[in-house]
Amino acid sequence: MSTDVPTTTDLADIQGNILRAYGMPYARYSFVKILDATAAKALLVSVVNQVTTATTWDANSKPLATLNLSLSYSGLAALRLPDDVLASFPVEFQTGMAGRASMLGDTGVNDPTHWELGGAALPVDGILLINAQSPPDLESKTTELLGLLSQHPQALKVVAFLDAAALDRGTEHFGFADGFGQPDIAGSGARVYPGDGTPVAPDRWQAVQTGEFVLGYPDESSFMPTQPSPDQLGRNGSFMAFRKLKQNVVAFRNYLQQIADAKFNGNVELLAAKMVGRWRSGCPIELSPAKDNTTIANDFNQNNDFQYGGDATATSCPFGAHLRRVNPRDDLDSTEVLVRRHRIVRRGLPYGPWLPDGAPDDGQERGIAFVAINASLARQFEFVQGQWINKGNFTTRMALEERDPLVSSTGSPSNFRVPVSGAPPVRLFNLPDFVTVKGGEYFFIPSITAIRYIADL
Amino acid sequence: MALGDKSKTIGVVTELTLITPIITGKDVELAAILAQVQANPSAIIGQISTIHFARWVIIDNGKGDGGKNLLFTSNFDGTWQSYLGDFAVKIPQGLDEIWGHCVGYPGCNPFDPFCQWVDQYQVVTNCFYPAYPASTVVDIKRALLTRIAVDNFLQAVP
Repeated sequence: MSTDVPTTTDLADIQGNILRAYGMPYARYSFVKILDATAAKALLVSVVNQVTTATTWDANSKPLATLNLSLSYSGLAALRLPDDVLASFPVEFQTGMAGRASMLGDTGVNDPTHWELGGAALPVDGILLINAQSPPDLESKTTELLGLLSQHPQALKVVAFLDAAALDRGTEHFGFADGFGQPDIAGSGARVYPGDGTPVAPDRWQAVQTGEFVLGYPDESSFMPTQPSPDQLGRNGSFMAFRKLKQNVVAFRNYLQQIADAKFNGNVELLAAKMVGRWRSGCPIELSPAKDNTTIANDFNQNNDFQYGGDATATSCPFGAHLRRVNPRDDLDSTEVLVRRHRIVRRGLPYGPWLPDGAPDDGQERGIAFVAINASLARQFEFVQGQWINKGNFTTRMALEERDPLVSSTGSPSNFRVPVSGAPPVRLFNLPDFVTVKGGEYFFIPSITAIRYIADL
Repeated sequence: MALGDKSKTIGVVTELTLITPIITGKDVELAAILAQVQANPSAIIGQISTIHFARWVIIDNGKGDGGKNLLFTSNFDGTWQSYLGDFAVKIPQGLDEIWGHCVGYPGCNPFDPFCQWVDQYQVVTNCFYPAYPASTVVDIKRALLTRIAVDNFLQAVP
């Protein structure tokens, strides 16, 4: 048994960007295919000291760029891990994201047969991820990495790149400030703001146990999460769901305008906020139901500090709103679900250029390089995606077809109900999907110890 | 065979059948506990919103030595793992109290040995038929709530 939270030694063993966000605006994903196990292990030996860990840094010691690596099940198999070690990984990880399409709701145009990455068209063994503070930092780190790879030409080949970068305007492509509401993880050392943890009273929050996000520490059941064996492979590792999600921005804007004109007196912003649960600024609609409030949005002590207990009829924030689904806080009955067992860390960034307001479709693809990090892909990421986003019947208050109005991706139309105080609800039928899954895969984020273990096998 | 593969799933509904040997002489005590569960199911089984039906039956082990087995059958929404996971987190004491009377029961936490134990004693169901294969327990509850609301509305309009 270890301690309940990571020690300083553990932080130097856990890869970075899990417990605390790097807060770097540029990212480059290099998707790799392993060519030769022996050469790849030699590469791991040379790369392991370059991998950025969770060791804390201050403003002066923050690196200009970081390097992290993760491996899919096919990658671990290509590295020739023994069969009993491979079998010790959770079944959903072994199956891979494409094979879990039915659990996730990746159907219709989102079906893995259409994927450009992670499906049969382009299987991926691993990701080499660079995060950087500026484009030159990104390039010099890339040069450094490619130099390292060139010393091991038989090890692997990069089969695809994806560049992602925060938009200058500080929003995602639909125009909403993003990144609020990351879980407060016990022992992470990250700054904590009200609303990040688990609600334990109307005005009190409690950190989520480390073991929900990093293996080898107690989770919210007070026991150790399931981890692959041996211990040096599993402990201090984590699991990541990567998804390339295309955002259909023009369709979203046209839909908002059309429905706002028909049912919201032309109030596009109100409809948008009802769908998302936050105004464009990031201000929660729960805290300011009638109009946006940038003072609240910009104050980290306020902008995530709310619960749904006072809004039982959902006239402020609809039950179906994106925000109320993906982290229901105090909203669900404990017989329905234990919300604290279904939290995820998000580390995504937008890809593609911003489409200026009012501009016609420029034919460019844009979206988000979505990253969810958790200890159990099945219990956390898959549950949020498959049950809370792509279905509505996780609570008696909604029907199956009431999917997430912003990010559902099933290829089937969805419905959305906006309760109104003192009047019948506004009902929207047959919402199209505004997000399309272009690819994805499950990855294991090994600890430094685990990388050495794999290299030594 | 992976964990959970012994269960059949029709639509959204999955079944589980478990036959576990009861520790010699513990069957009377277990019967009393199950009677308590029957008297107040909401304390244990009602805590999990994905259960359509659950049934425990103490049966003879068929060996002629007077030994007993515990038969458990349940129909539920979601996967085998998430079902057992709900059990282990929401009602661990209830679970341990019942199956603690059975041979080799490791306790429901930590989770992995518990899953292995369930798998060891799970039997494959030969035929499984749910009447509402597309509907979860929550769907059905919601439909009933809707009917009550419609009835109330119709009674309220003059």
